[in-house]
Amino acid sequence: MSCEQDDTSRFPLLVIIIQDNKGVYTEERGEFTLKNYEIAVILSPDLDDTSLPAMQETIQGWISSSGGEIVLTDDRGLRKMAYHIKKKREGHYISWYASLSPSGPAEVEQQLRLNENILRFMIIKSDVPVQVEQKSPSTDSYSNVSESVPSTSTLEEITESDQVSDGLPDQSLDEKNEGESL
Amino acid sequence: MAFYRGSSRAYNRRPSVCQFCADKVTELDYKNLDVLVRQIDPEGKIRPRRRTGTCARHQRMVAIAIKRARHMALLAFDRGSWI
Ligand SMILES: [Zn+2]
Repeated sequence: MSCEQDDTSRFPLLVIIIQDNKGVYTEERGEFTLKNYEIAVILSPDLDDTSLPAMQETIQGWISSSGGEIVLTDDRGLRKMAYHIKKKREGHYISWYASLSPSGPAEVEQQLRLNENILRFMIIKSDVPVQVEQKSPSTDSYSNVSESVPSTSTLEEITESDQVSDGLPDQSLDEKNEGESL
Repeated sequence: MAFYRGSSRAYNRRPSVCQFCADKVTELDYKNLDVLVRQIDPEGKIRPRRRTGTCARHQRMVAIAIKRARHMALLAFDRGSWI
């Protein structure tokens, strides 16, 4: 009995050593440190209304199955590309902001590489941009009123002299986001 | 005369302050095409620092963002119809 107890107590130590070789392991938190990534994908324009959401869900499944947590989905819709990729002139631009474990990007890349509906992809280290983060609650309601609220609220806090200089970039950013989301 | 004409043609006067430092830019997204389009010339090349006045730190951010935008077909690699 005592020997079996020793074996079971020794086994978790072995696991920790293996995980330690794979990547960053923090003993304080007892888990891998997750890093923030942006997974940007151009999907084929041939995907129709039913296969496009299905394709998005499978990619989201790859991200979550590799131990990632999706923070934000940024769908830019169908847009013209600057040059032809796989004889296509336009594509669906979608990026996911997610936190992945050290082995996550390689696993997601393996899946993305094999699918023919993915024209181009890129996985970069990136935090969630501030403008998109502010935009995300308003995209759920699809209302223009809530989008204008954060810019005006920040303007009220700033003094009058700064309103002119700081107000213009905020408005241009909002207009840009609206235009690109369309 | 020829010397002066040649030198003035070769170099546009460079702005004294980095535009990105003036705007206090800390991060530059590759999807921010409004900013990136101003940093490329008609050939699609990245404009040099001596023309734009960008500081070294922000020029690195610009170069990385433009290369990422080219990879995702948001910008062309050459004289193309970039958006
Ligand atoms: Zn600068």
